[in-house]
Amino acid sequence: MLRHYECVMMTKVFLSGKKILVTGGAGFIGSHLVDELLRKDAEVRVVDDLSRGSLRNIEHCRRRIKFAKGDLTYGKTAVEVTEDCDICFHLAAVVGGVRYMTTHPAEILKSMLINYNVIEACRKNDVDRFLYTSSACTYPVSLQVDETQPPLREDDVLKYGAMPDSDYGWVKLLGEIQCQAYHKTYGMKTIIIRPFNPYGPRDCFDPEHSHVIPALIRKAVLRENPFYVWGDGEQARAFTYITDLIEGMVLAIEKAPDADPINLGESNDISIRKLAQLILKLTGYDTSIVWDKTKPRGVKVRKSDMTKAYKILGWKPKVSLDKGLMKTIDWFIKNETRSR
Amino acid sequence: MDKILITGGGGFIGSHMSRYLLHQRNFVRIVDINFPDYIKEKYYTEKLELDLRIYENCIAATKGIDKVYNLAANMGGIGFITTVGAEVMHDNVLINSHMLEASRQNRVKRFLFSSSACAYPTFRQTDPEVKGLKEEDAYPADPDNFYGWEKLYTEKMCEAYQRDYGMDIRIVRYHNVYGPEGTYKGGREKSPAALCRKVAEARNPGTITIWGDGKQTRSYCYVDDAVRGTVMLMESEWNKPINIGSERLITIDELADIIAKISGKKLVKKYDLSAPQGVRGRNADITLARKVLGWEPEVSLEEGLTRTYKWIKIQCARDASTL
Repeated sequence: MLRHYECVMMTKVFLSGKKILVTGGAGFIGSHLVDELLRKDAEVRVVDDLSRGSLRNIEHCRRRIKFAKGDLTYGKTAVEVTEDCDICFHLAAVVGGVRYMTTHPAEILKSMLINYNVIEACRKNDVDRFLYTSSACTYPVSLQVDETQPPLREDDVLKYGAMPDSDYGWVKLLGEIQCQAYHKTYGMKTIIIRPFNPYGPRDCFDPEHSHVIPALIRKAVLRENPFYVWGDGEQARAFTYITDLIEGMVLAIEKAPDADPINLGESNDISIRKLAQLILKLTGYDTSIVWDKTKPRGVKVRKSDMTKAYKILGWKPKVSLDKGLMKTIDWFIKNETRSR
Repeated sequence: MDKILITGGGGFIGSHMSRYLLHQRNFVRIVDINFPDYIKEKYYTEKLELDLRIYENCIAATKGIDKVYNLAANMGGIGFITTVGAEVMHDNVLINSHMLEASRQNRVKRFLFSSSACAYPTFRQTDPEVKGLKEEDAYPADPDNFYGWEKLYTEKMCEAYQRDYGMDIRIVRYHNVYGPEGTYKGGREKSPAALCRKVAEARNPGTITIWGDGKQTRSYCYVDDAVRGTVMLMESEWNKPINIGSERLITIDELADIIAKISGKKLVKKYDLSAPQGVRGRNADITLARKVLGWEPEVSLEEGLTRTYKWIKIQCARDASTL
């Protein structure tokens, strides 16, 4: 506990007074990061094109930050917003759930253009540190086919050759390679993190784009009948509550500036069947699950080896799945059902 | 008659491609960021000097065009691409993303992307006695350098444009294309051109320096063969990656010996083991190109190198006289 407390105090000293840009800062992860950076007394700027992010997410702190609506597929925007910055947390990307990813490959791959514009702008403007938000989607499918396989270790991504299961995974991986190129060529301090299935309040609940937890919460709270769940329920995932992820990110910005990827995720996984049952229980919805096997279901199992994150950052997730889900459900009921 | 755009039309493969397509009576627009002064004749219909890292320039370049040969890239030989990773990735991602999107916006009928043997994984190229690389060997991915990663990315991007927007895509993976009118000095030159230059500049008798131990292997494809294969691919219905290269595997040592023999000079080879040498062995498997295009190389390595050496020797003599 002492070790953890020390880490948190140190990041406060490290971030205090720094000029920090969060790209995609009006999004789910971005807005939580903004909250945390403000708590650490940083000077925060946000750039977001509001295609997926929403001003509602940063409404409560709007007066304490600088906000720019901007499209980072334009290099000029990237150069403008990174001017005079000390640190850049780069989260902006074209993202979505399983459905969106399999139907919009060209859109997904455009994230690469954003990645290039932002890191190049950071180099031009001498930004001291650049954090890149990669993803667990970078891991090869072959290591995620049955539940007896060990949790994913960082070096598994390239160990047997890269083979992510989606275009989203490919674009995330190429963003990592780019960070390594900038680190190697220019000595730029780049940080690469791989979140594993983050969830929590302000997540995207739009059924077109949403990941599994918000999709199921939405259906359960709105009492959808029949209660469809994609796949057969046998696939398993390890989920990370948003505040845990954010804590890992602010630790990483200080402690891992060498372009060496770090997992921010859980090693304990849960089957989609159990997850769906748990969400039904927590929302008090008494119904039976109808499996929709025609829908994409992603890889069989995905969980994170936590050794490196603990060793380098002293980081471990703290919020249990029950507690995290409950907070997420409460938020959805308060914020997303009201306007209906 | 097609209206054709060749990006990188001032470069090595691009200028040969343009000459070939012009002879076939096409309208050929070439675009490049700069044009070397090697070639005196007008080998194009229209020439634009544009920086294709800027989207608006890509829109201007693709206006009114039926077919795009997208050859523009920031690239070079092993000495260059092992040192400037970030710049290569950055420039090429910008050029390729913008060119794809601009081609879509301007309703280009067909888009050809020049990929590279550098996209193939390192773990399949650790032995000089390497088996030829088949197209499907690219995955699982493990390119040797950042240049290769970018090529893979753009291949994916092309496939995505094909699936999402029904864009008609061609992807050629070149394996060590060489010939006259390519870069031969300045740090971006590739091994055949670099060795031709070293031999041309050497005294007789004299010495030349070879990068690595000379035992690394490659296969080389003469530019006329590469151009012919590329146009055949463009006109075919094959819309997946395909190798254009040679299956004749030789060591860098043997390559140097052939060039030395062409020059008639007596040369001693020295080895610089600290210099970059890339993967240990790389050969192309061109079974697919034979099958779907009916293409294979026709110019022998000896013949191709003779033509290349002759041209580079003249350039070196000219460089020396202008000093």
